[in-house]
Amino acid sequence: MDVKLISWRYKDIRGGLSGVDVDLGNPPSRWTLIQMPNGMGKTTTMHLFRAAFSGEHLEPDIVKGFRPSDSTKAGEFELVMTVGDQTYRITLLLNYESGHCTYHTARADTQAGGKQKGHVLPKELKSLLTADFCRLFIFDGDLARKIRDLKYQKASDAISALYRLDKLGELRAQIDRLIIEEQERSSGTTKTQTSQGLKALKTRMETVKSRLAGLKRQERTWAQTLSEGRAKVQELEASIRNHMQQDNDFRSRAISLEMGRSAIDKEIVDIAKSTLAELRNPAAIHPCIIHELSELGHKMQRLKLPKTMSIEFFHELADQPKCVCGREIGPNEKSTIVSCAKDYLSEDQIGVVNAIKSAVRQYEEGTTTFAARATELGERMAQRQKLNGDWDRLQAERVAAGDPELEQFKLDKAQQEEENEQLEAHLDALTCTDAILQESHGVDEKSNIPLCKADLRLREKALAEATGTVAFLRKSTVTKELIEEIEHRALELIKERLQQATNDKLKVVIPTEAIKIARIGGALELESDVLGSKQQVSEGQSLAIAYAFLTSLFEQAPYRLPFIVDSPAGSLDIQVRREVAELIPALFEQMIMFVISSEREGFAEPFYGKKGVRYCTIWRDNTQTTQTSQDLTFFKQFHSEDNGSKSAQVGVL
Amino acid sequence: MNEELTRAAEEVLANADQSAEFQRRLLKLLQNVTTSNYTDADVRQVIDLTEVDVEE
Repeated sequence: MDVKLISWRYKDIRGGLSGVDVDLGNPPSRWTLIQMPNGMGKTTTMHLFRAAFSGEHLEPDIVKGFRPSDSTKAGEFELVMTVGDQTYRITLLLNYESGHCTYHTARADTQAGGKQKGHVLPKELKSLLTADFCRLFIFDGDLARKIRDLKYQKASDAISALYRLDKLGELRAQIDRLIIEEQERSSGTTKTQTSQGLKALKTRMETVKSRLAGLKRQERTWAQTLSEGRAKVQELEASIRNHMQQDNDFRSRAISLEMGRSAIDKEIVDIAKSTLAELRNPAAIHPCIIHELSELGHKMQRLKLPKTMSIEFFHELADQPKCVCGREIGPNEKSTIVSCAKDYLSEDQIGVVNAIKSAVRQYEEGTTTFAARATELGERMAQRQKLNGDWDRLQAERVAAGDPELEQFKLDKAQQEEENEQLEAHLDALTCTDAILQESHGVDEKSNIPLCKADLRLREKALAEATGTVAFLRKSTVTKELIEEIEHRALELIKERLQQATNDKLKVVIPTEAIKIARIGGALELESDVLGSKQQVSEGQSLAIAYAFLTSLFEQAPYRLPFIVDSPAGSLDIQVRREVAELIPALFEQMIMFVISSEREGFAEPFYGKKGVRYCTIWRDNTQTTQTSQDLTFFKQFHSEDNGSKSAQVGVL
Repeated sequence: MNEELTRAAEEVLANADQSAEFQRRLLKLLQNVTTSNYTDADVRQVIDLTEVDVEE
């Protein structure tokens, strides 16, 4: 992505920078030399460039520092840049009274080129252009020192930012956020997030499984015992019957009672079956029930259809040539059917309501025989009870007549029935699903199969959740470690390349001392063939090293940014200036150099023969009015008497 | 994605004992991360493809 600086404009900014427009053309010249005498606002311009590119917050003291005079209330700086094919106009409105700086952005492709508040650049570029990063290409002399200072991470940070390795750090942070989300999601079921916790959960689940198996074994044993006990009761009953029939006196009475009991039992079963069938129609039980249901039907909302099942019906109906009422369906009718369908649709549960209403409507009162059947059933029950009483009395008579064997049968039967009842109670406690029964039996998941099954389901769910969470945590950790390893390795590889490229340039720029970069850690660590580890270098060498590094840094970067530098050769020897001037320009797609007249020698001269160079001189004339010229001859001949501490006075041809 | 990042990813993943699909997805994610063009779902997909022993 190419980022190019097209133009900028000052209004009411110190240094006499008011109403000054600098246009580099579009596309801009590859190299621009801007000659400004000291005191004209080069440092201010660099500061404003950094703000316009980064959108950084400017402290009130800094904003007020741009004020040209006490009477000036506001100033403005506007910068036009292109990002790829898009043009962005960034405006800084400087309120000198409040010290506030507000940003506005206008983009050529927005409607009416709309200006919007804020510093609005493409997201990817915006994240790159931090205030610190902008110091790399809107070059700050101080950076030349910091880039070699081991206290700082400037070199390493610059590489990470420019090559987007910092984004990998953001990715790791995003994975951390996903881990927290996963932990929060699963915390409702389990707090287990370690392998050890997972093992504990598995052990607990196995314990419950084993308990359930034990309860089921118990159920089988008791059921078997009960079955045997019931068979024994039947055997004893048969023995009692046989014993009773052995005596001629009792045989006929016993047979008669037996037959009577069998007949009554059969009738009771038949009547009970038919009564139960009638019970399925609740309205048959009592007239007041049908009355109550009718009342309910009237209170229910008007007929609606279940949404899920019925919406397609309306759509298909709308596509038919005729309606169910026989009328033609034209475009208007079709539209009405589809749009009004929702008035007849409700939640799916409405089907149940409709079924109740339909059942109530279809009921015909007076068709029931429930009352007569209930009476009949009551009579048969009473008859059976009487026959049972007769049977008990007959046995008692037999025992009283002296039959110890029968008495023993009776005792055994009573004991067996008691044992069976106890077993039935135990089995009921073990297997009952009703919460009230479970409570009355005083059972829990350790003594009731349905409760134990529910406990097992919960533990299986918790284990599944925990397994998922633990797996996610481990997977996330492995992924993060791989990303971190890749990031470190990529940084290492980039540093190796940059070290080699920078050293190649240093051989040319500083041939006398053979200074080279021994290592790029957080900063550039230098060494000399002569002196070994070398940290003390001249200011000129420092600048040359910084240029060599930055040009290497930017030359293969994924972003092509303009390189803007103030006094690029100020502290360099004439010869080194020439070498720097020969070296640097080829490495940048756009370079803007602010110079003073004394820097022309050595540095500006190599540009004179090049094509695609723009020369601009900004100065104040005798009347303190700011003038600009883009004439090369004027640029070459411009002199300033102030080449030091005095303020700019006159530009002289 | 820059040359060094691609090379670093290939070097690291060659020794990572992960599936080819994981490697492909992670490389794609890294590429999209450098242009800020990815979502939580892309990250989750890579995490899900990571092979680990949960009971280690």
